Amino acid sequence: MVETFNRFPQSPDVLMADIKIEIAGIRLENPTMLASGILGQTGQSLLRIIHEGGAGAVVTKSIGLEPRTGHGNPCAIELKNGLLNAMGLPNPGIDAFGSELKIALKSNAPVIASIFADTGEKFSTLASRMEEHGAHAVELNLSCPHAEKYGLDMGSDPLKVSDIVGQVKDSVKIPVFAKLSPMVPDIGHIALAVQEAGGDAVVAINTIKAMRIEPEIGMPVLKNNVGGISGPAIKPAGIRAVYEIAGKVDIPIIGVGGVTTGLDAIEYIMAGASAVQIGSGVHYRGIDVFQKVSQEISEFMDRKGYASLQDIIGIARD
Amino acid sequence: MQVVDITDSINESDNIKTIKFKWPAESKPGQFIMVWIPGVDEIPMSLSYSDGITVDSVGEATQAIHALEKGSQIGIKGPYGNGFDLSGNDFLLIGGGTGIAALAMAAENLSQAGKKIRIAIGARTASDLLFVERMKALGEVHIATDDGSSGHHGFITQVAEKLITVKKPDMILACGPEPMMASAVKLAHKIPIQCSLERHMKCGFGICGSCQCGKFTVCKDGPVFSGEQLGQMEDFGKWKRDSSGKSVWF
Repeated sequence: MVETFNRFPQSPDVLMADIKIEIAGIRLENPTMLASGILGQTGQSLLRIIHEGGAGAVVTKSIGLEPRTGHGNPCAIELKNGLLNAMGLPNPGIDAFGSELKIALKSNAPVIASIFADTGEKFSTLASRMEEHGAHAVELNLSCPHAEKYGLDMGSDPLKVSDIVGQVKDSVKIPVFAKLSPMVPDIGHIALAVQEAGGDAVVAINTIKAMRIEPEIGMPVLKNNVGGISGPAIKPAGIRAVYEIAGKVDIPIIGVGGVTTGLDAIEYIMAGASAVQIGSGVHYRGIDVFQKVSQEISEFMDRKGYASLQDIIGIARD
Repeated sequence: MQVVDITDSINESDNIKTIKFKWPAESKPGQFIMVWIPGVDEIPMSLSYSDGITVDSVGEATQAIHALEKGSQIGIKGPYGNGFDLSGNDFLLIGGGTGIAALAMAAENLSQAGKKIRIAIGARTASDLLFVERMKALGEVHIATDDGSSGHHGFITQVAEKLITVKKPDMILACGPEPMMASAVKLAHKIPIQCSLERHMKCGFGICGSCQCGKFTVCKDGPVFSGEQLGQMEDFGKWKRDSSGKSVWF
């Protein structure tokens, strides 16, 4: 059953601004995407984010070659201004995930497959499998901060980034996005490595390494001790990262980190992002956060007289 | 996360204990908490009291809970989840094994509100039966054991079937092994039913997706689902997901 999604059920005629966007040839009805790691482990959950949530696109949980249970509990806690997690890349593995992706692809919205590996060759294998399964693009997780050998351990070295992106580009035709960490001396430099290796877009940022100690117990709360923080606490770090990347590359940037409102998204777009991803925002505002943020972006643009997203992408840099 | 002191540890049977703690938070019947046993694990537990949980010792985390003493400290996240909708007048509660723990507070609320309640409690054997005296004070109790050591010799769903046919309740609440609940949903037919589900949980507050069942998350959309919602879940009664997200058949 394919449901159609009405972008603004309450006010169909009022909003004028064009919030459609095209990134690396992928057309989005609105510039909000589900960030990797939030829900997105099953086809049904991805479909719901599109149909009931109103996301312009969805990114799957990061998938590896083999099933992986991830870190033990506690693996996620709510803090005052963000969420702290050390999931540890749990996933059912690429073989089992194919059937989930097929379910997600029943929608009209693009489905982007997030993948992780510890070599360029394995990344390429995963990307090819995702392409066979029908993914519209792949997002390389080069930035998970709490899984040894993976993510940030690869993504902080521009040579490794270049090697991985290059190998994946050689093995698939679908667009290749690279998700980067802000925990590097110069994120613009890493983004440039993505562009020079043929990458189609940069996604920034992933969570930032963080921890919480429970004073009453005298122990770290997370089983993995260290995790990554997301949510409003990291938005300024994300804005800064996107701003710096926009000064270095010409390929599209997708901003992520603490977007819960339309104005948060506008900030990212003005810093140079063409679209935003939302993760923790699902927790703060519900599954329909995508619909709400889209509506708020439109309202802002109407109020300020902007006709399309192209009018505001990167204007804070000019 | 809130750190609380254990105030009491009560033996319910050889293998089941109730742990009470100093926790003033308000909760609804059917909600759950994430219980952190420092250095061991964190697991979801239904509230069997507004300040207590009732735990069957089945693994490392539950054994660690059993070892807690008065004055020990645990961390609590929650209360989480939706809880039961207690609208209706004539209730049948079906609890299999420790499932009755998730229904106990609902039974107390319904009794206080003057509603008619029948409670069907099932277990493997008489010594595993939980909360029989507590429930007898609230309504009419019916018992079944797999080995016939107490009450009906057989499944609790056989007892429930008779009660549904003869007494025609207008609302059914069920918690227990999922195949038992799947049978209860079939038996309920057109009578409204709510079941409290259990899935492998990680975050507990609706972001990680490990407890996904159909399009729903058990931790946030549930753990209580209506018969109608259960009918939309292709996995209900058939399979659950392990900690990697792979499907495992019941």
